[in-house]
Amino acid sequence: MSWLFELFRRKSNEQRLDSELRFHLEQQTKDNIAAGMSPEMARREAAIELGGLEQIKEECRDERSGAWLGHISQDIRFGLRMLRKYPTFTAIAVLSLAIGIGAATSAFWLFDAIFLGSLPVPSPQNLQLICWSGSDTHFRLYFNAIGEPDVPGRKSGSSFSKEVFFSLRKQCAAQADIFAYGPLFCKTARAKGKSVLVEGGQIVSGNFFSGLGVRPLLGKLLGPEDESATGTPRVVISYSLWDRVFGLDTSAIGQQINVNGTSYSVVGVLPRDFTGVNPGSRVDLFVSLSPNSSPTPDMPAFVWAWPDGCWLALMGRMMPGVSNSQLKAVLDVSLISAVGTSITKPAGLIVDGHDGAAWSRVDFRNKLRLLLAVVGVVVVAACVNIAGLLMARGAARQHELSVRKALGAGRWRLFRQLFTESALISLLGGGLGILLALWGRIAVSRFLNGTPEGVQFGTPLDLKVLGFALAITVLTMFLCGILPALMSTSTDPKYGLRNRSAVGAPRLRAGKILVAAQIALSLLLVTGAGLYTRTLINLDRIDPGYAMDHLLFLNLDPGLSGYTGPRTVTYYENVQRSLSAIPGVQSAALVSYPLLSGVNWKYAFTIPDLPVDRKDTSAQQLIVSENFFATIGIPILNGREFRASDRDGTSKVIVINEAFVRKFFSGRVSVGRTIKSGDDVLQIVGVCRDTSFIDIKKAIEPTIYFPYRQSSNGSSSFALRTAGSPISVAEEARRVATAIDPEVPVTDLRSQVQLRDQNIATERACARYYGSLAVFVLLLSCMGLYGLMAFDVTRRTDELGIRLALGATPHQIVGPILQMALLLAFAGLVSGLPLTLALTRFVRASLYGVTASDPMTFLGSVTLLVMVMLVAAWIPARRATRVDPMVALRRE
Amino acid sequence: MDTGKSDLLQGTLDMLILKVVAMGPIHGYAISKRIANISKDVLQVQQGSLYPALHRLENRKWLTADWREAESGREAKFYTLTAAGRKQLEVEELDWERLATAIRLVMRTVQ
Repeated sequence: MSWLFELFRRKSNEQRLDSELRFHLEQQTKDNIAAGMSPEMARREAAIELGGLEQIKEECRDERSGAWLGHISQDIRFGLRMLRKYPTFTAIAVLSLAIGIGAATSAFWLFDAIFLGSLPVPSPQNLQLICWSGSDTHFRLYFNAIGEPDVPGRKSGSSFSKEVFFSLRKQCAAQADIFAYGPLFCKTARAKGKSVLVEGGQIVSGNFFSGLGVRPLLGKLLGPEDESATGTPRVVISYSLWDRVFGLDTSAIGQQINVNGTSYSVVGVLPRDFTGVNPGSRVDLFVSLSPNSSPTPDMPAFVWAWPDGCWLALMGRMMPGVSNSQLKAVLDVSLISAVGTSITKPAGLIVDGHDGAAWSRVDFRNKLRLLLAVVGVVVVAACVNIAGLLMARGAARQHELSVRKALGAGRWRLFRQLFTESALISLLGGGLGILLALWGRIAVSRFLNGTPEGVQFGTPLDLKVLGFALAITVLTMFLCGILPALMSTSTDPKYGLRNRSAVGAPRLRAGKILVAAQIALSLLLVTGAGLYTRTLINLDRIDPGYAMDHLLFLNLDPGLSGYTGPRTVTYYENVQRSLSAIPGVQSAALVSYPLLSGVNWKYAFTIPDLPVDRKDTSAQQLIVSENFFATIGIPILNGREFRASDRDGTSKVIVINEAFVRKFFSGRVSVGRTIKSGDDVLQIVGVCRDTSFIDIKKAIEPTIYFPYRQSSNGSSSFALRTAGSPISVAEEARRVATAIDPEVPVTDLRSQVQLRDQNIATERACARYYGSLAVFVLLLSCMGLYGLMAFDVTRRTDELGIRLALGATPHQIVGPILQMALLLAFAGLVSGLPLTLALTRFVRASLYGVTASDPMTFLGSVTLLVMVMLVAAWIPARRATRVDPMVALRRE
Repeated sequence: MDTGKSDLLQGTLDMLILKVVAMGPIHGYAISKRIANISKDVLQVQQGSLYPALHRLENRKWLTADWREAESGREAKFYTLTAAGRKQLEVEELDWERLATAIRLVMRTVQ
């Protein structure tokens, strides 16, 4: 602890050192006088003999223990003083680093949460996902539960039917405890008398929680007895739902939650960090697998019980001492008997499940990788900019540094001093960056899945993320600090003292290189942002085949309130009549789901007289009312549209689109032909124009339209064509629909434009996110170039003054400065182009209507950059022409 | 500045200081004078390095210092050898002897 003691004694030490040396000088002077010198001469000789007083003091201080600490605290105090002295510089530097570090940290945070984490359960390494592969498949229903593991040359998947799951669980019991989970789409959820927002639900097997090893925070979890229990089914809720609906009140246990028309009683609450087993999504409620489990009320329960109806993901906890190959051997055998004919030559597939199924989030992974690369570029650009600014400032401080050197400061000491200043900037930037990351995380997660809620994950700010932020901060510290500190301390003090204005060709050259590098990075980001903007413009311009404005959708689910068969049809007829009567509504039509909402159902059929290879096939299906085509504005090209008389009991009819005709009837007139599905024979009565109604970005698929009176259906939507703004009639529409039967929930009131915007939300978020990063980096390069040019003008004030005095025109002064700026821009662009071309390839998949090397976008970016750079250089250039020759000459 | 040379000088300077201080409490100015006197002005201590050396030796606890009245009546910093300093001096004297002997041997043989 002696160094600490020394630190406190510093003051008295300083005084003592001073009097010790002063005593020496006095003695020497006295002796010199005794030797016969004049007093003045004696003092001079003594001082010369001793040498530089301050230098000796500095060396003495260095010898003392605790000196390093003293120096550091001194450096920091001095550094802070310098930062306060140049507030604009400090603010710009700290803020640009904070934005870079914040963006990088928030991106890493999500990457960590989704791909680097483990499920918050005991021994996650013992969890395995059970998947399958086969040479061919035939399923009546296949819901992709997680994703498809990559198996070359074979089909593969991760979903199983209920029957196969029960069989595998029994037969593999000695090797692993296999449990299942599937989706529960919560179309309606009500608790405590009002409707609640549920993020997602899951149907899980009775051994799900025991297999995972999750323990309840409150109450108890589901068990094997729930799979066959009668009476009110039970539900386990997430911490988030407990908070939002029950305000963390323990009385939640025993209360009722109604989901899709079924009442469940709450038995337990899950720990806060458990948000389900699929990374990047949150599950709010878990209900048990049962004989009549149905993930969505849109389809009847028996469909989900088909032996070849796959919708459950399987995970297993390995029994102690059992290897993966042992489990696979049993799995292979069990699958053959369990899957029947739905999978040909089936084989088991065991995939590491410690992180849920993070591998399946390929979409997130690619986006996050790209994002990490881009924010990496941003951080580097910020560092380069700060290094440039520091270097210019170091040059401007040449005089001060030379004075300090002459007064005895060593080069290492000055280096440390300057480095401390930049390190302080980095640390401040890092601290602010972490705060920004807290906010940026939400922005990034929105960017990932394109919804306002963003990706859900429970990972709090942990040490790994903080460590990453710190590592980046230290990296920036060296990136921006070392070079400027080295360069600024390399000048000979004699030189620095003689020239008030800093001169140094090599310094300016380094600055030029940095500015060119910044321009190159700007080109990359500006082009990327340009490509996404073009994508967005293209998406905005897509014509789905009908007018999107003045169209409102709402969803009704009479099935949940006990409507069946003819009663449902009567209900829908009443609703349609009432909605059409609303002032401002031109027409109202039924449609099975809102257009462009991303929902799609496939319909499997056969065409009797078609070649064998195309016999078994499927198309999109849409169930509509008779005036649907008129309401949406889809022209019937051939035949007729539906009539109210197309009802149960009459011959079944369908309308198809052009894509269907092209694919299955080679474009020939097809009205009057029939298709078959099971025992049903359906006659084609009309052909309508192609319209995009699932995903505006994708090609239009063959589609079959069914009249709703001939199709059994649960929930339906209504499309309203309005005279004015669709949102203005939304409340009236809800009131009217509710008035017909208050028991039927009216949900999802959205305009077609809102639905379209949601459909392209990811692209919009990309364009916005990359756009703002590009503007930021462009601003940085502007500052860099401006700083360099301003510095150059300051440096050459004297020269410019003389030239002006000698009659140089402003044009002759401005010309060379702009020329240099153009040269730098050119150098940056030339080095940036190959880099940009190489990197934009990676975003090809997420672009629409524009290639990754789109010449227009590249040309635009280059033009923009050159113009911005010219403006940045023009301001200091203009200042150069205003130099007063007298001022410049007087300084000389 | 040739660093190799200054290192050798520095080590030697430390030994000389320790030796001089071993004769009794003494202040910095007197140390430089005494070394010059004893060596008949052959060894001129660079005063720029004398004080850093003194502080270094003090920091290593080989010397202690206290403020006393000098002969002139002014307060001066007097250095005294510690037990550790005495031991260090013995070690350095031994080393020096060995080195000097070795150099002498070489010089004589070559002659």
